[in-house]
Amino acid sequence: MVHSEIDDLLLRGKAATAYEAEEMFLDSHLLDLVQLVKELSNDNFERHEAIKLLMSHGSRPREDSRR
Amino acid sequence: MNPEQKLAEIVISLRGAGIDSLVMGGHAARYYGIDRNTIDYDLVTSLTSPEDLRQRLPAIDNFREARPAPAWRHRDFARFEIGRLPDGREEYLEFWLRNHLLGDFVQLKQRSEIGVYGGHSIPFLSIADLIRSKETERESDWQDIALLEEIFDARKFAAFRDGRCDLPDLLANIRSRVGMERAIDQGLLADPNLVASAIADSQHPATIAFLWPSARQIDARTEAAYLDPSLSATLRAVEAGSSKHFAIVEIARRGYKRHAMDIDRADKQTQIES
Repeated sequence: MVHSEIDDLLLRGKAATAYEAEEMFLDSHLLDLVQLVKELSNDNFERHEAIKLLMSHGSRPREDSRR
Repeated sequence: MNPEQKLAEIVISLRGAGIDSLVMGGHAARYYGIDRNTIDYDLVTSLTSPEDLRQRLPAIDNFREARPAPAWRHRDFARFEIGRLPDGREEYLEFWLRNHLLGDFVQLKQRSEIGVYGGHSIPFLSIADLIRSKETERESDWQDIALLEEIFDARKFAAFRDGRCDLPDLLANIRSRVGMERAIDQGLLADPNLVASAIADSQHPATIAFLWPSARQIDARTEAAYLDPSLSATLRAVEAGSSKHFAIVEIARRGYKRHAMDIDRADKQTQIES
């Protein structure tokens, strides 16, 4: 679902790069992301593709900053 | 002469001609620790008119050959071609006379930082002002911001350790996830009243979202800082430092970024239409 929507943004020419398409996806789903915080169990939350994408586009954790 | 030395020479030449300036842009990012290439020399200056610059610059020895280049923010910004790189690309010296993201020059100078660069002591925008100057519609500027926020936080932690800033000041300014995790690891969020005081002094929604679960008694600040009410309600239910908590911090950060991009885009549109 997440990746098909991102692919669609690329295929329709709405985004020029995969990064841009991911940014557009996240920006258009902020309220949905808040809903995931409310509704999902911790395990399902951490495994959700949209949440993984949100965190990979956000401020990096300490672990990554040391690389 | 390498680009760092050239920048230092530019700033010193301008100062000698009575033109006060602070380094911003790519060279300032390099000074603060971001490893990046830049071919432009970006300054913010005390002068208020591009015409004044165009008249005074050719009178300075180092800039006799400088040629004015087109700039679409023609009242606030001026650029000059000052040479060519070995690969043929133009080298530009760019001046902000007014920047819609920054305060006036006197305030910027009061907060500026003098540092050694290119073998000379020259003034730079403070790191906080540099971060602010990069809140534009350009994605590459936000990638710089993410790194500058980590450096800003590391400096704040060093100042806290050395007694140069207190805990509410440190907490009120934490911006990066690296800094946030460090604050949690060091147990700095244990006093809800102190965290509440930090929230009251904080300006950034990501910082407020980070501090919020540790100071649940405060309420009104979120909306004032553009934190969506749906976020503040959700923040009440998450555990501080959990995956869900950091996800909300990133949602708040993203909301702020989009808001800032919209403001910058609107400003550019206004400038183009005027």
